[in-house]
Amino acid sequence: MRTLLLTTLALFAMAKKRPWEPLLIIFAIVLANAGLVTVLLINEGATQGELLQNKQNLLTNSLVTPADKAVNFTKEQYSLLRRSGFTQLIAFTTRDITLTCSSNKNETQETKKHSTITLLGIDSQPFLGSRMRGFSVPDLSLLQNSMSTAQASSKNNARIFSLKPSSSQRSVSDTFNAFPVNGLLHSATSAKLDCHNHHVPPQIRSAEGKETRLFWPATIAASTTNLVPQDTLVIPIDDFYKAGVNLNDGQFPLAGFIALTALKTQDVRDIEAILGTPVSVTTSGATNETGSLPDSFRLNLWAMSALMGVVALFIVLNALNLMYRTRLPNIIRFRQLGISSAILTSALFTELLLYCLISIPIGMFIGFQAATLLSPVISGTFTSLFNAVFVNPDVNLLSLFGLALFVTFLSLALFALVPVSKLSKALTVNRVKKTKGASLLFVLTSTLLTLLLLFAIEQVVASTASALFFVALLLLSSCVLVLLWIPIIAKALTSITPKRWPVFYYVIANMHSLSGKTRLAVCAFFIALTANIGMNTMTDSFRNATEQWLTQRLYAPFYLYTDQPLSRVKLLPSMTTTPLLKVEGKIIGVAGNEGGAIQRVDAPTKISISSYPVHDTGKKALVLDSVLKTVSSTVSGSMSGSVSGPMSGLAPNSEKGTSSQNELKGNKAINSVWQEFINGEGVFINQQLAYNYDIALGDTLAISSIKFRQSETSDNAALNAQIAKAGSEISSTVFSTMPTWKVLGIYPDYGNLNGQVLVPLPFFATQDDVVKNALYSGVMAIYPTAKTDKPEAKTTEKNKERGSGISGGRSGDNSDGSSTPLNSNDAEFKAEVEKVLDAQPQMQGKYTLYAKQNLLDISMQTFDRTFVLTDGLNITTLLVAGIAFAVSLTVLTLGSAAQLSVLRALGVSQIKVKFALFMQYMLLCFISALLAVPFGIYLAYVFINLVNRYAFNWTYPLAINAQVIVSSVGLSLLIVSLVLLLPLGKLKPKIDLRQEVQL
Amino acid sequence: MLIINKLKKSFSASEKPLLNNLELTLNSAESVSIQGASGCGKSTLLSLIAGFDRPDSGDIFIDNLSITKRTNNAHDIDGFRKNKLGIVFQSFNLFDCFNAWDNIAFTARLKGNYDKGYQQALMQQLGIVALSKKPLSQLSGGEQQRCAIARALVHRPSLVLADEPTGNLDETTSESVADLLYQTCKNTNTALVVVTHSSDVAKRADRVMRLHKGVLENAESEETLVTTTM
Repeated sequence: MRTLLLTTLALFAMAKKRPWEPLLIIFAIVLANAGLVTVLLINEGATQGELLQNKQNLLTNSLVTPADKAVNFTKEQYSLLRRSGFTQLIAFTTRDITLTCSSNKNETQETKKHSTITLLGIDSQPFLGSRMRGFSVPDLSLLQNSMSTAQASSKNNARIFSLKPSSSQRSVSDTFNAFPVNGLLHSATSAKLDCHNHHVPPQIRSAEGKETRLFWPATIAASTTNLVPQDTLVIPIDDFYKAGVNLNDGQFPLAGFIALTALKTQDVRDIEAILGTPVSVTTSGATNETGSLPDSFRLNLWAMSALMGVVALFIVLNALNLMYRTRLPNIIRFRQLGISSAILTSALFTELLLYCLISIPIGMFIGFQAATLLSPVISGTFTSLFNAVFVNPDVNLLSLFGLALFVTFLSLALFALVPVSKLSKALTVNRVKKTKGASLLFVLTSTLLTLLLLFAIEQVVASTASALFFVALLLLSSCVLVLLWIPIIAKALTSITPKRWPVFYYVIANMHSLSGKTRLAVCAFFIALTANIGMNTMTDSFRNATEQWLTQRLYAPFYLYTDQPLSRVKLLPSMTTTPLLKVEGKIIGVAGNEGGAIQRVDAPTKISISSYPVHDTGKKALVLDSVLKTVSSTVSGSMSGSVSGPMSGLAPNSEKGTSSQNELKGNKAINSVWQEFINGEGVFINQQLAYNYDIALGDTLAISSIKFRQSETSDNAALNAQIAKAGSEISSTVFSTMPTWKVLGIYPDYGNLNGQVLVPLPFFATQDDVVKNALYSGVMAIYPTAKTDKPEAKTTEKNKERGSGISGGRSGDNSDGSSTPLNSNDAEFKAEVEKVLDAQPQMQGKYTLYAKQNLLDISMQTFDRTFVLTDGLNITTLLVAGIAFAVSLTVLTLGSAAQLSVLRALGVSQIKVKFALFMQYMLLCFISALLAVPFGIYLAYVFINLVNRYAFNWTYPLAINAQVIVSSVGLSLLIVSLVLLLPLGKLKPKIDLRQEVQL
Repeated sequence: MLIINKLKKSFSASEKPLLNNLELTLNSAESVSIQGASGCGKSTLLSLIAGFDRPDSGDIFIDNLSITKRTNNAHDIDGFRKNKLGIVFQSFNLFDCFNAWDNIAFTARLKGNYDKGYQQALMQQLGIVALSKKPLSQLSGGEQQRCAIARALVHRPSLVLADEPTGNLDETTSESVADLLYQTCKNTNTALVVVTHSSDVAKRADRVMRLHKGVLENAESEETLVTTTM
């Protein structure tokens, strides 16, 4: 034990003598742990956010509302009910309030940040001093405190909203007497409303028809709790009616009553008897819609953190190697003095453990800071993209430290085992073996064989796990190839460098020997840069594909988003509408294209069945990867020529194609497929569905459990249950005529993570308003009505025979999805549509009308936001690798001070020495970067065609953008050069005659 | 060639100067060896001559150019070393990234007077022509030091400074390397200052001097003095 202690102390003395070596190790461990902790926290925050969304809340109970929607309950009726013993009923009323982030006068900018939440006023009196069933003591306490009328501002941990109207809404004459209000807000909503402190007052029309703005200048202190529903701010009902907010003068109408305990049928009858009016009791079985964090995000995050881990591991190992190299003589002395190899190994590992113990808390601190810094971005991304929430996670510090220590030390110990073992067993300094470098022939053969092997393995990849394994294999084998190629390239460069520039010649020649000493640092840098190029190329390809796809798919000039029922959307005959209808179903089996029996799928999953318009513009807008080559015969597989390949619009006049004959054949096939589609003889499915179930063109799908979707705005559960109870087939209620589920084409779908089937719009049953509303997805394409003949006249006739003309709420309109949109003056048309919608009270403030370009911009912004985090991690990894590379080289420079001193002694100026070093390192980086380019592109191909294919069931074309690659390489070189500047600036090679050059 | 005039150097104000009004004059093709006890200032003297360090007072002239004045200007002193000096180190200090030929040629290429024929002749004199293309790792200590001597002379300097040139070599190799060093400098008309502990190496110089109490003394006269006293 004493020997171990003494040896360890001696090792620390060595570390003290050359502090930059252990500092480099500590630096790498700190960075690795910072990355690990950040990723762990983000994942934990996402998981806790998901859990929060699932919890039961106040409105999960029964709600008693007037059966007649036009009627409201009164205060007197509420009082009567409570006096009659219905003390479990709590009165509530609601209205929507729109909040915005800033008082920016730019309305269009501001609109993007609008967030509408429901203001729920409840009677808080019953909560005071009583115990409620169904609530835990802390929850009830929070509810009681928050609902009390005590001063809100004094509360700790409350979210404060000062609902001042934005400056653009305010007029000089407006006066605001802010009043304090206590409230409750769901944690997820609190996270979503990051900056929304301004109120956008709605326009109200008085009895005289005069329009005024409804200001409600409250200062709300909202405590976060999961007792309340999402997107809802719960406040006491008396505050709800402050500031002159009432619908009828002097009246305080109530929307309904929350029943805190279950109501029996008799109770309902009694309530109706007391109130003298029929009531509707809805029992919400649904909890908050569960936002599911897509696996793609987690996979991205873990992949990036694994990458950072690998890079950090290489850095630590490189630092360890450098340190052990300089320690070798001292270690040998220990061994010669009789210290055993086991003691030495233990001492070296003890030293490593101490570095871990020092570094991990620092890394954790940085990780916490990074997670806090990133949380607004992540929160925004989660909310906008995944409908999921992110909360600042509550973690156990000690267990996190334990995990970080375990992971770090274990991986380090495993990888350091070989060098430590070699070092502790050394008894003599072996003469430096100058191994002959690998010959060009050997390197070429190895490269060829490695590439062949990689291509061969690529062919057998058939799952996400094997795809990720292949990525790891690709990175590691490319690393080996780079280590083989760098000396060859350096040697070639040395041979072509003019010797009349001795310093430059020295730079090139010395780089060759430097590459041998910095193998691991080069690997770390190379992996980081390859991954960076791969990720950036993949993201850029994805962006291109998405943008092209969206541009083509958005066929109408305007899109209306509203949560109002479809029957309430009334537009003029000059405005053609094509609503997006959706139902859900489950795919239970697939029949082969040769007419075989249905093969049942192992795990039936939910898919969405969406409508697609059958007009010519819709035909042109449909982007297909492959279509069935059929006129009369069914042939599976992709089409060749003008219609094959991604991004082919289903237009008869496709510009793509190699020959006119092929084009003709292609057009014929396209027209044929389209005709079959609009006749209901087949459907189009998305890539996700095709890949997930290995569905080929011509296969027939077996779909069951077709039902209306559950959405935030419409509770279709009752409708589904009603129809199911009546014993009728929902599918026959949904479709006017059942389409044939034969797969005619496969389309890329970058806006959807799940399987989707496109069915011609006229096949949806839309005669009944209830069904129509249940089918409606909330999105509608709007365009000026064409005054030309309908292009698919025959089909339309046929569809009309089926009685399936879809209406956007107008009787006898022409919006059956077969009208051709026309170009018109967009702004004028938009203004006209808005005017029509605003004239309808039920639509006021309850819709958003997007121009095609707006939608495209928003989608692309959302896309970019999604990748902010991975981009950040990507750059961080590159930064870490760059810094580590530069630091490793600096450590080497310090070690080669003697050689620099000789240069100085021979008359080379200091600036030239520094420049020589700089050039040397940059050249090494540059060669690594050049080698990283082809591997980075190959990695992007693997990400797109293997990882994406198996993890998310989609692929897209690889787009090699020189700008992306040059920026990645440029950024990496910039990072290294900037990091190098500091140590090189400080470097002053001491000229000393007695310096010994280490050979 | 080399004139050292009243050179003073101390490393701390409280201590006695390491070099105290030291004087030395050396002509072309002349060699001087300097001996002395460890820490007497031999290497310091070489560092001052090479312009690595600045004296407290006094001056050093090489080819009538003041080094002391040039030490104020880094560019000047670097150029001066490149053009006028050749240095032979105890531990050879060759570049492991070059073969023997490129190591030797380095200083001439740096100065811009690379002459393949002259280098060939020089290597011939030193007996290392056959080693030209060999990597450094394959050369023995003696071979490496002969390469270092060639490197110190190939750019035709006015003065060669050798700091313990045989310190890392065995006795037989030392004698051979020392002979070659003195002879080649004589042949190339180059002045040579050798700092050494070895009497065998020292005695081969035209003048043998001893650094004692900060001044250079003629080692022979000192020996005579000691003998007379005894």
